[in-house]
Amino acid sequence: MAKLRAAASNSGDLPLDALSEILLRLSAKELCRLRAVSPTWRSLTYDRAFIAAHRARHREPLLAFAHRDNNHVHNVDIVDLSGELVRRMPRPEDGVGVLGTRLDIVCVACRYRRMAFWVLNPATGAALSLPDCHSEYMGNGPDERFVSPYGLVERNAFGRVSTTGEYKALRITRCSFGPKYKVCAVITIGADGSDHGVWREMSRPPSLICTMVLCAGSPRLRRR
Amino acid sequence: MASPAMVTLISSDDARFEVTEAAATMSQTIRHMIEDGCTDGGIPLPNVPARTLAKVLEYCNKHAAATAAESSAAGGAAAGSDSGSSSSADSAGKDDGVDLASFDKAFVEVDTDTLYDLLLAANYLDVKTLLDLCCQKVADMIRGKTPEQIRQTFGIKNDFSPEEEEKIRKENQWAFE
Repeated sequence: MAKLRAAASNSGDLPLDALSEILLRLSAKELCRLRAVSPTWRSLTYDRAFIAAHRARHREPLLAFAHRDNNHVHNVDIVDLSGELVRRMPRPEDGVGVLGTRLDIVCVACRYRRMAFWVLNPATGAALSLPDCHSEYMGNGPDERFVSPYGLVERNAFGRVSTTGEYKALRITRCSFGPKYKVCAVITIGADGSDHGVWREMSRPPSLICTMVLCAGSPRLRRR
Repeated sequence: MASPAMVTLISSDDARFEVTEAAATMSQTIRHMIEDGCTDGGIPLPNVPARTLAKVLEYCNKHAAATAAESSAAGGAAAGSDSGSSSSADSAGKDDGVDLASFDKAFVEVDTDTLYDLLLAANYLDVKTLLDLCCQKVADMIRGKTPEQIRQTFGIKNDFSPEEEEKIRKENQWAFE
């Protein structure tokens, strides 16, 4: 019995770098389950350097999609190309849809709150709400016309600036008020998806927008 | 042919091991010590007991010999390409690859404590391929197990309060399904 206990304490004492080497070889789903093993294992799987190393090692393409399960819970799921669940992030909002992903973080929008966007980090499970208001230039005053229901989002895009690692979301909104009929705004999200700036109004978009492509990380508009 | 250079390694419990330099320098730690000229009277390895060191050296000898055979086979193939001996050298090289893979597989078929000792020694001695092998083996043992089974297999103490553990399980509920 004494020997057993000695062996046990011995094997629990793996140095952190060796434990990290081992856990890097496991899938994200395994790691989320193994967070319940011990505080050491949990803190390691939330560690930024570990997450970056895991991402570098597991480079296979993944799909992100939103759905509602049989218990009426809304989720954003990340699956690999064989359909195996890699990560599930429950969402409190109804009718969410994936707007775009640059794999490291996922941007989702809500069907019933058209100006509202969220940025999810699948590695940590953190969710960041982007402001659902207009830019400062448009005004966010007490006038209720400026609050979210008055903007109908026509187009949106989400991309990553490869030079800085930051993300940008683009939103083109049709307004039923004010001097401008269409408003084009861009917001910047930090490289790890944990903070954001404010919506900044850009030059007026063309009146008819047909297609949109992401090119070298920055959204470009094409006019037909 | 000159006899290969030998070095002496001394385990934590003072056992002496005579090995070829080619095998010893699979360890980056030992390689650096040899480069620094710290080999007089043997190289002390205070973190590795004899039992583990013997096992690590078994691995290093096998791999160093395979590497030597591979490079001489490649050299022989290049030199003998006119006489048509390259195909036999090729097949010999391939056999070595299969042989080495099955050696590796059998090498880590050990009890958990021995595997941990090997892993720690490979980490300390910086034998990259052995460390990879051990880590992969442990990862394979972890895969598909519940947190309780992992704690049991690896003797990890559960430091979570029941409330904390419940919270973590709730947050990661999907991963348990």
